[in-house]
Amino acid sequence: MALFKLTHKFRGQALTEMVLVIPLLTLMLAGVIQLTLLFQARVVFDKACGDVAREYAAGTVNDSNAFSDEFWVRLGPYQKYFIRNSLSVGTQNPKPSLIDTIVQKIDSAGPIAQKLKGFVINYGGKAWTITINYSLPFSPTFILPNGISFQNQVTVLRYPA
Amino acid sequence: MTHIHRWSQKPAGQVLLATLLFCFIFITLFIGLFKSGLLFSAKERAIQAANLTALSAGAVYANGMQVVRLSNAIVFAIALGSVALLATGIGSVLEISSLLLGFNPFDVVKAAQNVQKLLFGIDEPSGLYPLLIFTETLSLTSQNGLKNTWPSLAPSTWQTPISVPSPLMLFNVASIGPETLKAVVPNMALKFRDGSFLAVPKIPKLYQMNDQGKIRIYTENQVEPAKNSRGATYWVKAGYVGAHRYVSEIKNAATDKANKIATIFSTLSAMKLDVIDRDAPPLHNIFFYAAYPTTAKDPNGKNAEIQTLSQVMVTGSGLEFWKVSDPPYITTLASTDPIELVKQSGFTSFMQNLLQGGNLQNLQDLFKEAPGGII
Repeated sequence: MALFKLTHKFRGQALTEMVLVIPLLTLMLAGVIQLTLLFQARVVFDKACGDVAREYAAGTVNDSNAFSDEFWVRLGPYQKYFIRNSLSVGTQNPKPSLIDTIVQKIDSAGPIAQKLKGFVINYGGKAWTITINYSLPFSPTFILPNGISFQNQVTVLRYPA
Repeated sequence: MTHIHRWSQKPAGQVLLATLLFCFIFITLFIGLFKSGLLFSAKERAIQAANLTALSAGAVYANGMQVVRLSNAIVFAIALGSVALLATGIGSVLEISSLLLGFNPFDVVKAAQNVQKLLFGIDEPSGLYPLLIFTETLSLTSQNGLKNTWPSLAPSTWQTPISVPSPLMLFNVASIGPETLKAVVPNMALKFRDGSFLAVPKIPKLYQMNDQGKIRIYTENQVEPAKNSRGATYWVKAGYVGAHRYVSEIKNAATDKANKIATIFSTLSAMKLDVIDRDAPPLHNIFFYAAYPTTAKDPNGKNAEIQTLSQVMVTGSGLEFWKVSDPPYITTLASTDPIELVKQSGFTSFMQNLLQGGNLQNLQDLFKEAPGGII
């Protein structure tokens, strides 16, 4: 009865409207914040991938384990938004180019040719595939329990290989 | 219409309209945020992709510099061998064979230098190794998600009119001179060192004349062969003091010797020695200009592309053969925001003008004008 009276007054009407709008407004604001954080995390992820690939090009990172560790460090304060256990780093050789076809022919020519090749062509590279899950901050675990998967592939050559 | 108008005057209608407006604002905000987020993320990926591809180009370039060192060592070994052959008894045998068969041991050196010329594109627009840098970079371009519109080797894929292909690489553009277009052709900024640094200037000949007790001295330019010689072979040219009077050359044993040495060294200066940097101080760099395709639409309804620019510099201790065991050349990435650089330098319009000919601005000037430019 009291509620009925309240809603039939001006003040009551405004309050009812506020009660209806605030959850919607909060939801939308939360969405905006989540979306912002998501893109920010994506940018940090991409930057970290590129930076560690540059470390590889500089010769300071050599294998997948070192890549994973360096990548995790590069995430910096954003580490809390990522699931460490979901991080996987895969490597493969870059797609063969013209020189690879020639190199394969040299390899089949014998060990002396291979040694000579080592003197002349001493650059090489890797294609790194980095995958990690991003967990939505400030959200209940039943919403996307495994988080959102981010993936990036970077390919770089280095000298000396 | 009147019904809607009346309904909108009621509180319920007003609330609904306000809610609709509110939702519209939020949806617009959401879409804007999503699109800008996507593009911002794409921008970061474009920068990383261009940087990594440029670094890869630098790695192949740096490997090439070590190959230059090795080739210099090989040419030096061949030259040393040839000199040793000529100096020993075998030399006389070879001398006879060179007379009979036209074989000269130094021809092997020349042949080796011709191989260097072909391999590194010295005194040529391009060479095999610079083309290798180009093809390797092109291969990495696609793998890093950047746009690659270069036609394949199959002529059936070629299209007319030719548009500016992407990516574009500018090799050693800062020192290429006024013909900026040449920088598009892969090159390694190398040249042959000749013996000109050994050149000794000849001491000019001097002539003297006894003019009523005064000794007058003339230089080579002031005298000419006497046309009515009576013993002396030179006289003073018309227009100078004592015109057409005979002069005698001032002979000096030391001057003669110095001039003979100068003649020998001038012959040496024509010889090619080893491969060195074209520029002093050495400059080896590549500008890598590429486009990163995105799914976002531009105002014309086309897929937007992010244009990006990276620069790598290849530095080392030198190309001389004795530096063959020195630390390898290293590749360094210029630390400038590539997006800003493209915007400031007018790189896009430069590229558009590149194949159209004429109205071609000098890239060097563009970068110099750009605040925070990297040249």
